Amino acid sequence: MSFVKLYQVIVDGPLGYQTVNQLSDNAEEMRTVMYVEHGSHDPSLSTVKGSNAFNYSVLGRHDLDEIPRSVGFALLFQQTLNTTNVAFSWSGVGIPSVWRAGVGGYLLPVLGLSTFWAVASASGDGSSVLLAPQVRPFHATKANGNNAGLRINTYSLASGNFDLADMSFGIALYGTP
Amino acid sequence: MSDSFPSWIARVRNDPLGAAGYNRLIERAKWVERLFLSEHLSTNVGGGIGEHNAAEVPREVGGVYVAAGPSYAFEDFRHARNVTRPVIGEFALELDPNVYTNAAAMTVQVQNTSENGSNVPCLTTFSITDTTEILFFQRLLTSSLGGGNVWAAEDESFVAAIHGEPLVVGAPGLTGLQKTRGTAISELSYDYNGQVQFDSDLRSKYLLDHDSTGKHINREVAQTWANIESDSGGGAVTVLDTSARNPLTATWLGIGEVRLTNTTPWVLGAQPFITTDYARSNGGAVSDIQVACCPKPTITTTTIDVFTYKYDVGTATWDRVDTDFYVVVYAGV
Repeated sequence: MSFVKLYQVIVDGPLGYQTVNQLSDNAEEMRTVMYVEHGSHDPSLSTVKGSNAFNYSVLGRHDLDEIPRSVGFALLFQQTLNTTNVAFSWSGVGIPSVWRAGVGGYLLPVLGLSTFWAVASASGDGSSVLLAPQVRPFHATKANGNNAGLRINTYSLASGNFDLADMSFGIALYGTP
Repeated sequence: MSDSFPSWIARVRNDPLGAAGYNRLIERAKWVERLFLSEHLSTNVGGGIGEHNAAEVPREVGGVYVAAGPSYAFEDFRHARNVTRPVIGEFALELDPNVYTNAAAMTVQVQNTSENGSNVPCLTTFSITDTTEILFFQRLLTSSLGGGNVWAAEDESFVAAIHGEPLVVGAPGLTGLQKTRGTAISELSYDYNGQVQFDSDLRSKYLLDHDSTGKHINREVAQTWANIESDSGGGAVTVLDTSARNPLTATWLGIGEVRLTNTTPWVLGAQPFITTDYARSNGGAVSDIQVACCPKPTITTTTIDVFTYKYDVGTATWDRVDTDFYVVVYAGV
């Protein structure tokens, strides 16, 4: 089936069965091509309703390895008592949070992807030299197989050497459900 | 497939359509529209009715190209209005404020594409000022490989993918009027002809960023990706995994230099983003500090060269290194 652009009718013009079938087929064709690179899992028919939150193929959602499964921005800030913490604004299913595991060290759990990786980009005001965040995905097919998520280390130039340093960063998670 | 798409019984000659049949046509059209509008816009944003509207799909992808002179130009961004250079090593990208509504819900992917990247590591970082401006900062290793760790600000090419908060999707299209028993279908613009118009309009919105087979054809959806492994012992690379829709192949050109080749040519101005993984030579470890560069002059319609560097913490020097890496390539088709 393929999409066929229909003619508008004039007064008293007959509306034949082939025309109305084509109008129906046009809708079906749109549905078919949308499913090629978008989700087709209909939440309204799901028997486990809560599971839809973790489904990468929910109706209409982009479902393609070439499109990030989740994006976000990890924002460093100082809490009271000078404690450094990280806030995370994100979209998508993949990354629910960012855990700060020490100076310049972050752990990002990843949900629902069998393989995954990420582009992380350092954010700063240009006053210091910041390396691109070092991203190491851990999943079952890798040497440190753990299916845990991503470890990110961030470094800044200080006294002639690159040292672990806290910084804000953007992240785009790619992967396969 | 199992979904709630309303079913249709195909009509045959002399088969009455009836009110229920006509209403079913409208229901099917509205169902498909809801499917489309879940992550696409109905309204006009910067000239694109039907544009993608999900945070995961970049609102725009492009780059700043620094040529000799120094002159610079910005390329391929869908909405950005201008780029300026306040000081050496800093570019300010002016955004369309109608496209970004919340600076706290924006994020950026960035990759340095300086031609210097074939000789020494280069860096680009970003800072979101507000919904109208993003600053990009470039740094270049001015000491030679193996000879130090001195960096300086430098005007350098880079590419960026900018993600933003989804916008208000806009009003759905107007369909024909639903019928009750005994009411006739007319040719009026709010009746059957309106339904035909709705059918055509939705298709037009869809075709802005997709082709007739369902494939995305916009720059904001990457064309391909790959996971490249540097073979133990060096001298070769293996494509561990790559895009099913547009596979990449890889060739080892030298230590820390890999050429990626695309089977289907893309439009020039491709924007690659690279993430290094484990270094497989020179005593590679998970804790290695690495930088990947992708010089713009090496980007053709079918190939991209990737250069990878490793930092030696003990000697505070840089050198080329064979390493595993991931790459995703945005481009026009």
